[in-house]
This record gives sequence, structure tokens and C-alpha cells, in this order.
Amino acid sequence: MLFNSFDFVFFFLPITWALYQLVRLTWLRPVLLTISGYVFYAWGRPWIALLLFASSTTDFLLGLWMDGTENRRARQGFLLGSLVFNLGLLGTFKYSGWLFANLNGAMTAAGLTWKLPVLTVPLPPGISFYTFQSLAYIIDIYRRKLRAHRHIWDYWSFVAFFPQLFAGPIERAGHLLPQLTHPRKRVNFRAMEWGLFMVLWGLLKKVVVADNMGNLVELCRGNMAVHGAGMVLALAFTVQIYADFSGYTDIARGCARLFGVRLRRNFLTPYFSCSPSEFWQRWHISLSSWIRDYLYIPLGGNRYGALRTVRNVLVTMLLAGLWHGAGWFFIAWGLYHGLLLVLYRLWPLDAWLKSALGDIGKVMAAICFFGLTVAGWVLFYLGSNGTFAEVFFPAYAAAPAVGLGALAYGLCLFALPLVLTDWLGYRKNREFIDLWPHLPPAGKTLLYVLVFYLIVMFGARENHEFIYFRF
Amino acid sequence: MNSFISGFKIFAPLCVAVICIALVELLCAAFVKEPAFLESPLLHMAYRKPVRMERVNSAIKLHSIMPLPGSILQVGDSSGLAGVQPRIVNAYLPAGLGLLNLSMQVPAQFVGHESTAEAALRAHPDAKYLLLMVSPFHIGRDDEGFGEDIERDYVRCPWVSALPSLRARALVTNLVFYGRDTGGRLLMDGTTIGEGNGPVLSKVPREESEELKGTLGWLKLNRHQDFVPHPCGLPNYNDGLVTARLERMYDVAARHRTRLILVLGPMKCAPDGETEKLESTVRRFQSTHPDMVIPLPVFDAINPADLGDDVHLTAEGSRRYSERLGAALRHALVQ
Repeated sequence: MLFNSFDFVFFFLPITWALYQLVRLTWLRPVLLTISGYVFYAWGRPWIALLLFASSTTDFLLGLWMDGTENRRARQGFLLGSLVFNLGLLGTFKYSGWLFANLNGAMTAAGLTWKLPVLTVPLPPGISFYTFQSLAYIIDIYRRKLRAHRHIWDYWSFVAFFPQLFAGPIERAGHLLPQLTHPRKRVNFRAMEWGLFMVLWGLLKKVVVADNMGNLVELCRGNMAVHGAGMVLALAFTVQIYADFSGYTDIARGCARLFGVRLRRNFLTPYFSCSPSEFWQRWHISLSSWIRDYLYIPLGGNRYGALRTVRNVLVTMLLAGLWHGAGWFFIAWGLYHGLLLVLYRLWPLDAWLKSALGDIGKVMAAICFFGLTVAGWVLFYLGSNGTFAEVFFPAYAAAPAVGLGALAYGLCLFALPLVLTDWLGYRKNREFIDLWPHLPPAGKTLLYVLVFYLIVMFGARENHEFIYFRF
Repeated sequence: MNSFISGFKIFAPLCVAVICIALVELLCAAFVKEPAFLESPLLHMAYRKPVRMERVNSAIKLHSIMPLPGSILQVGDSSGLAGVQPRIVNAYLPAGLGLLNLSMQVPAQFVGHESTAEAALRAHPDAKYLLLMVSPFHIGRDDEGFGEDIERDYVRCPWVSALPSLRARALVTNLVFYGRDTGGRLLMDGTTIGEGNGPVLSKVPREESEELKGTLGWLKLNRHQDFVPHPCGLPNYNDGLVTARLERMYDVAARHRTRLILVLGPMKCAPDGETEKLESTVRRFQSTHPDMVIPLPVFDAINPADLGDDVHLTAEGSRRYSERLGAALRHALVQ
């Protein structure tokens, strides 16, 4: 089920919310959240619920057994079991097709006729998110940072909590589980109203900004012979992916708030970053912190000299790229960001500009890094949209139907609301939705009406899937 | 009580916003005179992206033709859209019966025809018959299109297109996207239908809406394809799909206490193994559903000159066909 579908907005959410409010028994609420999570996840494709069930049940049991023993080897065995199972799921459903196809290509090139069977099962949405969430739980138990949970419904509701099931934020058990299982507090109207606006704001980002940008990207693809269309495409995709993913996160956080749950922040005006390290503290925060805590630091982090640090950064970012999708361009995108992290560490351009030119230098550093980010998104776009040549050599395109002016106008039109509101948020080091409680009542009324009519008038009618569902 | 009052204070901006929206909608209902079908969510009106003509026609059918009176509601693909002229058929029908042509085009898909039937029967509780007219080329195969959009917007959530302000959407998007008031024109992809409807802001939808209202849903299609005798060879034909679809449409009709009339579009090709299979499947279905009416031959071969291409009748051909259908319906329904 999609957040921007009528089924979700008008049926699933109100019914689940009403039932949740009616249920008085603390133990029954995780049951309700689990069932609703499975309905939400498996809507129209029941078989994918089996994977979710298998992943969460396996990790619950392994966590329980691991917590119940002091034997180091046994604990390592349980950890290994969880790693093999979860990464095996990911490998089978996400990477095996791509890997085997590449191996087959290599074997053909080498003159071998034998072929590996290529799995053609569609990728279950959200598998990268919930397997990482479940893995974090097991690793935290292994590290003795967390005690295993004793009630399986609680754990199932933690993994299947519907707002963050498809595309995060990737929650940690220590943060989310207590919120789902502790006795319910009284309904907090202020949090609910804030949550409601978050949902509306996320829908606006998705259907008005991201989906229209998606149309513009397609328009650019069809008019690549226009000089400059490639640049508009790159910028439009940059805005699209941010509006799409942060819109999803806003809806997820807003929905969770309606249930009295606070999800982690996943974005903080990332395009105003001055350096790659700042960018990764502002973009997909739950993934970058996961990778830092469970990959980069265990690899040694920056504790063993410059060369080991460079290696760790590159390996970590390569895997982060691979996490996003099975494709060479995703790997290239990860490595590109790894290289940027290394280069900025060696030559901190942002620090030089800031110290030499003050605020102007900061603006210049942000513009410089924004340009580098856009270049990275081009790689990312190519990851799921064909070859470099198809996108960037006009010879491959049909005769243009629109000019650069029209493409650029579309870009400005749909990007403007996002740029303005992000700027307002950036000035306060918050997201725009965080400013909501501080707005005067008249401002809130105006925003409600404005957001409603922007969605009604300009919301895309086509169903564009959330980009991060593919991961 | 205190918590209720504080809750009301917190939600006051939302309540005021709802009142403002209601006022805007009332004003739009009173003053925006654009055709009602512009409310349809089927029309994308995305920036510089043409709307497909089939969507425009479907939106017109669902909004402008649906409210017209009719006791025989015709749904299906463009074989019926271009083939049946209700004004001619109605001249043959007994008093109290009137045909309304709600047929669309192939991209509306079978699920779209089903949803149109459901919506039409809800809107016409006194209807007596549901007439399904589909081309033999399409009844047994899957086609791509927007049928699920019709189901979502007109059967599951019909109220989504009820906002009067949506009528102004074409005006607003024209102004914002193209910088001028173009009178609610749509950027349409007219390459699939009619003449002179290029992918430009060239068509005034109101004209087409009025034209369709005048013909009770019949649309003249300008198709021409030179006739070369050939066997039909229904491509991608799936026999199981035919039975399942007939079953579903029969259920829709039965649910609304109406009888199903089945008409398969006329053909100019020669019958072959596939058409024989289709014919026997339909006859088998009729034997288990004896109240279903099939007024014309299942494989209905007509003069090739009456068909512009394999599926669509010419204007003159549709006139002759409508007379034949009218007479056949009178005969079948009076019995």
C-alpha cells in the first residue's frame, strides 16, 4: 500500500488509528500494530509478508537465545546465523539476479557456454530497511548494549511498524521498542496536530514536488537534443529524489506521531551542506548512522592511521552504494561519495573558504558541494535508468518538442516551494516541519489551505512509486 | 472537559482552514462554469505533458454523459463508442426504454468497462439492461491502460472528483504552466483519434463534451484502412479470460437487478479457429446464464465497406448497424 493512495489516506490510516485509540490493553496494541503492518506491507502481494515474518521471527529467536547464554562461541554463532540469514535474504532477492547476469556475461565473454540460473523474482519492497533494522537489534544484543525482548508480538510490531516499514527511517530497537510497548500515555492533541501537518506536508512534497519533477525528468529524457536539457535533468532528479524520500519520511514521522510514537529524523536540509561529511549527517541520517555504527567503526574507523581510514571510508561507502541497488552505477555513486569524503578530509575546501571569506565563503562552499552532489545524483539516476550514452548523448534522443526555457521554468516552478521552506528550516538548523509548532494560528490556517489547494490543483494524478521503495 | 477545550484550541487553525476550503468550494460551485468532466482525476494536466485522448473521452463519458437518462446502459470499447448511435437505436425500442452509450476505448481496459458499468448502474437505479459491446479482438486479451484509475476514482472513491474547485484546475494549470488563460484547453495527445488534435493546447474540451451529449455518447471516428480479405486470427486470445470477464460483467448486472446484453463488435475478417472458439465459449456461457441476451450473431460479419478498420464502423456503417441493432433489441427484449 502506498502512502499517497486513497486506500491508505482514507481507509487504512483512519481505521488503524481509531482501533489503536480504542484498544485499552497495553499488550494488545503491539498485536494491532503488527497486524496492521502486515496488511499495509502485503496489500495486493501477500507472499512478501512471508519474508518479513521469516526475518523478524528468526532474529527474535536468535536474539533470545543469544541473550540467554554467556558462551562466547554460541553468541558468535547466533550472530553469524542472523548475518547469514538476513544478508542471504538480501543477496537472494536483491543482488543474485544482477550478480548472476554479470557472471553469465563474463562467462560468455570468456567463451564458456554454461550459464547460471538468474532469479527473476521481483524485489520485495523495503527489504533493505527491515533487514538492517533487524540486524541492528541482533548486533546490539551481541554487543550487550541491549537485552533481548521477551514478547514476540512486541518484536514483530517493532519490525512491522507500518509508517517506517517500506523506506525507514531505520530505527534502533532501543529507541522504538519502548515506545511501542510501554503503557500508553493520554492522547496528545498537540503532537497529533503536528503529525497531521507532517503527513500533509509529506504528501505535498511527494505528489506536487517529487512526482512533477519525475515528469520533468521524463520530459528532459525525451528532449535530450536541447542544449542544457541534461543539466536540467540532473537538477530535476536532485530535487525529485530529495522531495520523494523526505516526503516519505515526513509522512512516516507524521503517521507515527498520530500513534504517539516519535521516529528518528532522517533529513536536515541536506542540500545546504558545505562538505560530504556534513551531507551525510543531514541526508538519510538513519542509514548513515547505521553504517557508521555497524560498519565503519567495526572496520576500525579512523583509529589506525590515514591509509586504514581511507580504506575504511571507501569500503563503507562502496557498500552504502551497493545497499541502494544492484548496479554498477550505484557502486560508482557510493565510491564517488567515498572519494569526496577522503578528498575533503585531505583538502578541506569548505574550511578554507569559510576561514578566508567568512559567510560568503560558506555560501561558496555550499554551492561547490551542491554541484558535486548533483554530479553524484547523475550516477544514481543512471543506476536505474539505462546507460550513460542514452542519457547524455543527444544523438540518441528524438527531435525536441520543448525548449530549454520551458524545461528550466518547470524546474524553478516545482523546486521553489522546497528551496524556500528548506532555507527557512536551515536558518534555524531544523527542518521546515519542525517550525510548525511555533507558527501563529493564522499562519497555520493559511498553510493548511495552501497545502490543500496545491495538492488538489498540482498534485500528479499518476501513481509514481516512491524511489526508495526500490531499495 | 478541559482537555476537550484545549484540544479544540489546538485544532482551531485546522477547523478554520476547513471552513475556508468549504467557502472556496461553494464559490467555485457557484461561479466556475467549466464543464464538469474537468473535475476528473483521469486528466493529468501535468506540466507540458499531453493528456491522452482516451482519458479525455473517458472523463467526458463519466461526467457529462453519465447523468443523462437511460434504461439500457452500454459499456465497452471503441467498437461500441463508434458503432452504436443511441438516437437511432432508441427509435426502434419500445416505449420506456432508452439506450445511453457509455462505451470508451481499449485503454480503459476491461476493468474500466466493469467499473463504468458499476458506476452507471449506481447512477441509474431504474436501469433495466446493461449492454456490453466489445470487439472480439479485445474481449479475450489483456490490454494496457488506465482501467484501475477508473475503478479507483469512480467506484471505490467516487467522491474524490466531487470538489467543485477541480473544474478550475485546467484554468489554473494553464495560467501557471503556460502563462496564459487558454480557456480551459487541455494539452492533449490526439494522435490516436480524430483529425487535427495534435499534442498542443488546441482542443476546447467543452465542444467535444457537447458533441457527445448531442449524440448520447456516440463518437464519429475517422479511421480508414484498405480492406484485404484475411482470417481474423484474434491476437493473444485467451479463452479463459472471456469466461471470467463475462462472469464478472454478469455479476455486476445481476447485483443491480438488470439483465446483461452481450454484443460482440462486427467483423469484416473471415472466421477462423479462434473466432469459432470464442463463439463456442460465449454460447456455453449463455447456456449456463439463460437470461443473458445476445441480440445479434456472436460472429457478426458485415459489409467490409461499413468498417473503417478491423474494429471501428464508419459513420454511415454505424448508422446502418444501429438500425440493425435497434431492430434486434426490440425483437429480443419484447420477447
